[in-house]
Amino acid sequence: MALTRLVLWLMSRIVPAAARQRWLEEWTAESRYGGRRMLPGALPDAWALRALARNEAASPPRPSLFHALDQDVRYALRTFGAGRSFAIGVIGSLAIGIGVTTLAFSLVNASMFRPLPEIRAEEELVQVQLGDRPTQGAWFQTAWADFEVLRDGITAVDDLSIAHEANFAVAPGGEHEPRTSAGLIVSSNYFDVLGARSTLGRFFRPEEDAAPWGQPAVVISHNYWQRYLAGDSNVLQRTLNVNGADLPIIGVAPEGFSGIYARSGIQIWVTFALSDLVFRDAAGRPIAARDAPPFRTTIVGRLKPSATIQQGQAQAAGLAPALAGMRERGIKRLFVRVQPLRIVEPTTDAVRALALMAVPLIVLAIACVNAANLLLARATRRSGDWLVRLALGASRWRLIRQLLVESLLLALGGAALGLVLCFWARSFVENQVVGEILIDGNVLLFVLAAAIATALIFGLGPALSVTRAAVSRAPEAGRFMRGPFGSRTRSALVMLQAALCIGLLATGAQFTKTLQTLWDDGLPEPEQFLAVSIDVDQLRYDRKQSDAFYDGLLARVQELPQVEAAALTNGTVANMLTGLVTSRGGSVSAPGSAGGPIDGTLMTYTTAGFFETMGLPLVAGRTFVSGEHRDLPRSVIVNQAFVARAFGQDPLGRVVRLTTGREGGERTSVDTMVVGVFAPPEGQPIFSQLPNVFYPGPLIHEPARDLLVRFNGDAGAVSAAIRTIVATMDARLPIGLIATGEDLRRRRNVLDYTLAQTVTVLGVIALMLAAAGLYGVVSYMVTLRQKEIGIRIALGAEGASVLKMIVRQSIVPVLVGCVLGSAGAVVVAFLVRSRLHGVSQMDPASIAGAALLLLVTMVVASLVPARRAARVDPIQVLRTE
Amino acid sequence: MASTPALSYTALFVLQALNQGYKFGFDIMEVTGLPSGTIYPALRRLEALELVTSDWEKDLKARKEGRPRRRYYELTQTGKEQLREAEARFMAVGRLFPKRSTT
Repeated sequence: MALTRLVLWLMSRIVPAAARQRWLEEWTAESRYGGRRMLPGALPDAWALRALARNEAASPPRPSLFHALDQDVRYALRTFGAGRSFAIGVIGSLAIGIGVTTLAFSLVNASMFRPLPEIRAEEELVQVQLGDRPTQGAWFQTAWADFEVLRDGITAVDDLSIAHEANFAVAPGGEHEPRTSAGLIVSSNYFDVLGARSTLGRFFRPEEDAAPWGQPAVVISHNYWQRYLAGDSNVLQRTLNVNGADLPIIGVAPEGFSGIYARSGIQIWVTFALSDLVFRDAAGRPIAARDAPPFRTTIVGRLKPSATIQQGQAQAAGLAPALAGMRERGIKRLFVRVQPLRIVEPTTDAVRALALMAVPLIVLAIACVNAANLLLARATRRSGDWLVRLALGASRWRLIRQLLVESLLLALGGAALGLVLCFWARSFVENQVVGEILIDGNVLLFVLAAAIATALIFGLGPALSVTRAAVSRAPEAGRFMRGPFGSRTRSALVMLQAALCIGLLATGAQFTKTLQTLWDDGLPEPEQFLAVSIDVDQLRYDRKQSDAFYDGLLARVQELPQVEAAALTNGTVANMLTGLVTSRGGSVSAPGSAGGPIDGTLMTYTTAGFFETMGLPLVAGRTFVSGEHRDLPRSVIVNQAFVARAFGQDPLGRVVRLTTGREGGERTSVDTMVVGVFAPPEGQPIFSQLPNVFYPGPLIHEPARDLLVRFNGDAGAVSAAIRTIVATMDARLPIGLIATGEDLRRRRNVLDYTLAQTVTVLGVIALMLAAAGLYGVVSYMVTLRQKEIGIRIALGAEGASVLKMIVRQSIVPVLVGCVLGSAGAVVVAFLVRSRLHGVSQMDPASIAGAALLLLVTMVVASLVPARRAARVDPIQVLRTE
Repeated sequence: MASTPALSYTALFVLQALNQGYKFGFDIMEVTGLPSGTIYPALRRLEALELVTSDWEKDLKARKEGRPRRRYYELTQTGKEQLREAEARFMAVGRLFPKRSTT
């Protein structure tokens, strides 16, 4: 009994003191009846009492961190409804920022993160290349024999396919004119290797690739089918005229499919049995690919399930010596690369994506600053609410949460609107920028992430600073509510905005200016100049047909009423204008004087009228006359750079020997006489710096020529007239390029042009955002300081001095930002020096111009609310106090 | 207490035993067959939920019988209601154990 009592007494220590005595009494009594077997129950009972006591002490239950979140949401929505201009301002700013960033991300998304369309198990595909180094470095062209060695030697790969890209003259018939379309010559297994499934019909069978022209066939792209054949369901009964040959259409590739290079715009596929549509021997005669010298190829295969890429690489390495031996000149270093088709490098990809998105992210930053500023101003005005809530027992977290909920709602609103903007701007941007925009799940995720991130960035700062101030200044509520609280933070934000803004504006201005310098190709009135590229080789014209065609074309074009001058060249001029300097194999020497060939001389075939068309003035001698090119040319016109290299002085009447033609092919050497010297305008790089020789007739078969036209009138009308002339001469013949001088300039610098345009547009957007932001902030400041301003006016301050004070106070941070931003712009200019092509890295005028624009905009933005301040009626203000 | 959490089976047993006139912890143990470690904590919880109240035996009676006085339990009004609800849900509750003979 004593033991039981002892045990009970010990257990009673667990029971809370208040209930202990009674507990002990009850158990003593109970154990009288139940005996010792009761004891095991006493312990849980003691614990139960203890737990009950503890629960009671801990009341009321602690609310969770997100208790009554719906209240916050409802409250936020109500206040947005009440202060609509605030919500519109913030959501609008964020929408622009998020929209721009999302647009940039969709570009990145389309170019980097999308799997190749309509290709099965991309990760199993390997690409085989010949190169001078094991992994990177230059690659070599591949001959058909090389491909056969590779195909038979690399057994780790299931089946190797080969493709060669070329331009074809494709005439769909009907009302569509013939066009130059990108196409692939492929082995018959090409589609099977990539795992594509035809939309209509079928792909190639081995027998269609067996004997040359045994079973001619063509596969067309989905895009071509829809666009030029009107999605005709009987398309498989039709033929397509490709380079002059009518080929039966056997299948339509799936939508979006363009092989292993996404968006390469491939429109047709034919097999190597038809390779002489494209391949030419040294004399320009059609030839089969297996007999042609090495050409550019894409060799792709699918790894066998049992094999590893290392096995493939080992097998390929074993083939290298044999392949090197097959080369005529014996390449010392030749490697066979077997690499996965898609090499995923997360770090590099991330860096590239960030680089592309850097400028849009700056705009987003400005939008965030804007939103933060407006939020801060609003939060300051609501400080009375905060104090009341704190006094009623709200925790600081609850206040912070309220602000965060508000910023999150605003950010989500901004994101939704931004997405709408993004959709809206999509087609416009796709036309302006080289690239495609892909809006999919990735982009939606990005938008969501961007919204949450921006909400935290622009919401957290104000939330923390406002609640800190509210907590610490609680006792002196009156002063806090009207005092200049937060003005320092606000100024800092305005400053940051100005700095970012001027950085963008100045960089954009510098880019644009640089481009203007770069674009100066000396072509006068480029909008009144047309270049038209035509290649009759696609239709296998021989030399006689080709000469006759071009003579006829030139004559007819010259008869057009708008045309002032026109000339033909061998296609180098348009290339020069697009920045691609090319010269056919050939050499120029001056037998009378220095002797040897004059290196780097550009030889260009032209007809009479060329110098007029190009606006190149002659300084000595005469220009070509019509008919001078009937036979082998006997005369040349040179530039001053050539004169300096070849003769020094007195060039007229001197002899120049032209040798042209391809090695092993047709080769012509002719002695000519210098009849004229032309002087290109200053700064024109190609015609002034490099030695140039122009001769008046084709030395060899020149199937591809450019027609250059100077006209007076509408470029569209002249292009249309030229198209009609070409169509009446040969309906199958496509026009490769038809572009004005202006277009050529843009084309030459398309990337720089896009970049400059983008930065400038974004800079202007940033400027608008910053102006709107400053306007909002100054408006709030004026509202806050209404009483102070009223007192000032009551004490005799004039409206003008109040106006001056407000504008001055708002512009000071902008000025500081200007200085910082300009410094930033200089740094950026140094960093992107490589893109600025050696033009002076810093352009003070651009920066000064940007700063001026910013200042004027900001003064205007602050002037509007300042005028309101100047009109404050002191009686009104003081009465309401 | 207006609303109480759903009663456990143990609690239901205890309430029913009290309703049938078993007033002391040990008696409830005997009639339900549940161990003391279950019965007593259940009584505490029910008391905290105000379904049950406890009181002490009259001092006099205990002294007369020469033993410590016992703590006896009773259903409150809420407890009775809860039990009725439970009876409606579980038809067999009423026949769990017989009424205590009033001796």
